[in-house]
Amino acid sequence: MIPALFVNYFAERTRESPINLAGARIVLGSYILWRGASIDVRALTEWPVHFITYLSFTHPPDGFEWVLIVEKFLLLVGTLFFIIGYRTRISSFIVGALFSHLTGVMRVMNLGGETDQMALGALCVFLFGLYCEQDELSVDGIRRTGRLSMKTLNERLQRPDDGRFSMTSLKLILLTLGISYAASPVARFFNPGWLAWASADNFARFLLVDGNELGLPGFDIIVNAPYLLTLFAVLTLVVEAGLLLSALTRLPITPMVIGLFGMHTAIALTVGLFFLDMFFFLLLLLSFDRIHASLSADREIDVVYDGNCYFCARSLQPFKLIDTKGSISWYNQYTAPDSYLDDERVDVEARMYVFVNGKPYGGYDAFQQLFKQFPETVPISMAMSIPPVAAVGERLYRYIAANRSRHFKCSVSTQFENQED
Amino acid sequence: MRKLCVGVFIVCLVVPNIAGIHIFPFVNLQKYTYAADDTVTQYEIRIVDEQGRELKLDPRAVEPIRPHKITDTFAEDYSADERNRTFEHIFWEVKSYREYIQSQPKIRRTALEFPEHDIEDRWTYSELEKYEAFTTVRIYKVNKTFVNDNTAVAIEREQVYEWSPDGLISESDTQ
Repeated sequence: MIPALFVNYFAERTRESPINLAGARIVLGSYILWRGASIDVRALTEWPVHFITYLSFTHPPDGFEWVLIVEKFLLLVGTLFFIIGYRTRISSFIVGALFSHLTGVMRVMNLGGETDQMALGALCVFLFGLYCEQDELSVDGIRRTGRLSMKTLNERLQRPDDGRFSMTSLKLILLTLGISYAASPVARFFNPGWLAWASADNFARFLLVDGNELGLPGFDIIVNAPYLLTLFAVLTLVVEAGLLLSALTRLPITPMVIGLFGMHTAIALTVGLFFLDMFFFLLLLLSFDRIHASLSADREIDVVYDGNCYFCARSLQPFKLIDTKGSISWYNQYTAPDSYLDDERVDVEARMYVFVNGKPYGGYDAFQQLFKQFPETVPISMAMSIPPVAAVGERLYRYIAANRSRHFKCSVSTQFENQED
Repeated sequence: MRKLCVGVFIVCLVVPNIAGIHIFPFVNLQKYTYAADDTVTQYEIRIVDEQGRELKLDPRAVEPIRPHKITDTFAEDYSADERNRTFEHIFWEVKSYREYIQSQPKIRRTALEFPEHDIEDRWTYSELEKYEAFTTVRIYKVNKTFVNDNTAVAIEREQVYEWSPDGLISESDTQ
């Protein structure tokens, strides 16, 4: 498990599910949302003197400071769209552009690691948007299923898990992070040279100059241990250069990413929270799909749905995408075992069914069983079992099931089938 | 077209990171790439109350600036007028921030915000209670010399600027 905790997208160009893209989108969007909401526009505009004058052009002219407030509002709204994967192409461009500009405005007063990392965040958003059509587990992905025929939807649900999903944006984000980290050891090679930089004396000075901000108990011991200091310095060089080298040589990147987490944690504990943003960026490489699979339920269930209901088949596509264990067998009234169809309690054209060890759960209860299958949706399943929620939910399900032809595209005509196929 | 975008992107990313330059938003992440000198010079902002007691500046009072960045530029590049205006701004921001801390909100805005890089010198309600009204802003030049085979730091402070609301800037002697 540990060697594959983070994914080298140069070695593994495709995955069995699009979960990693969805996980990365949510982590990146949450970072932008938190960072963006924390930008104090008033403080940006009221400083009387610009420190970094060559970026002053990013500031709006006097009397137009309200533009930044509007930008911040649009950034937050756009980021919410980005997080859920709605119109990702345009929302990622808008979010990237607005976050870049606000970072530029902030940079006029704060040229340093903080705004460097924010700029890197904006670049990651741009990269994500460039290949957003690969992000199937999103609102856009669900919308795209509306272009598929009934036949295709049925085939997608019922075929074995042979789907492969490209992750080009995550591969480019890995490359971006690798290049960014490798910049430091490259610069140190030319000046002052790796030997001089990694000496115990030099590393001790880095620690001492900003002091022990959190009062770490072992700080004095570390500063007085030359071999330990040299070891830390060498490890720093190795993990910074190692991410790019591991990625390009298609070796596992997990040891390097864990090393970088360790390096940033050590810096945070000794000299300050200088690289907090990088934690978010490294998390983009997390193997969300493997964690998801290891936490998913082991039980095998059968789902029987109405194979003529377009709305039903579209609604079930996300469950198919996150079923990385292949624990769900999908059937409609034409393919289901006779034992299910002959059951007096079962009416497939009226409601969907989930069979657990042969026991049928229909309608609202069927969805509750489906949600119970996956770690991300277990809380929903638990909430659905609360009596008031269940009372409302059952009514809602009955209403939708009874009126799905009226409100959604449900019955499929032959003309539609021919047109789409 | 998309491959061209990716190609341009990678070139724009590699060049600043190798050359150590910034082509915003393509920035370089070359950090701690130097060999530290025997003595490092930093600056420190302190606020003075009516009794003459000094309090080191809480970085959160002067967002989005990092105080040590203020003073590097301040000491080397600013004109007298720019220093005066900056001092005045810092003073009123600090007073406003103190009022905010002493108003004891149930949930502090700063607690919900993205954590800042500087985690030291955080003012608290009880600490601020010990101080009278703020009257003056001072900047010290701090020389940190590494001693005892780089296991300790000897610190020397020299007051370089002082400002009070009457608008006068004075340059003071070593303390």
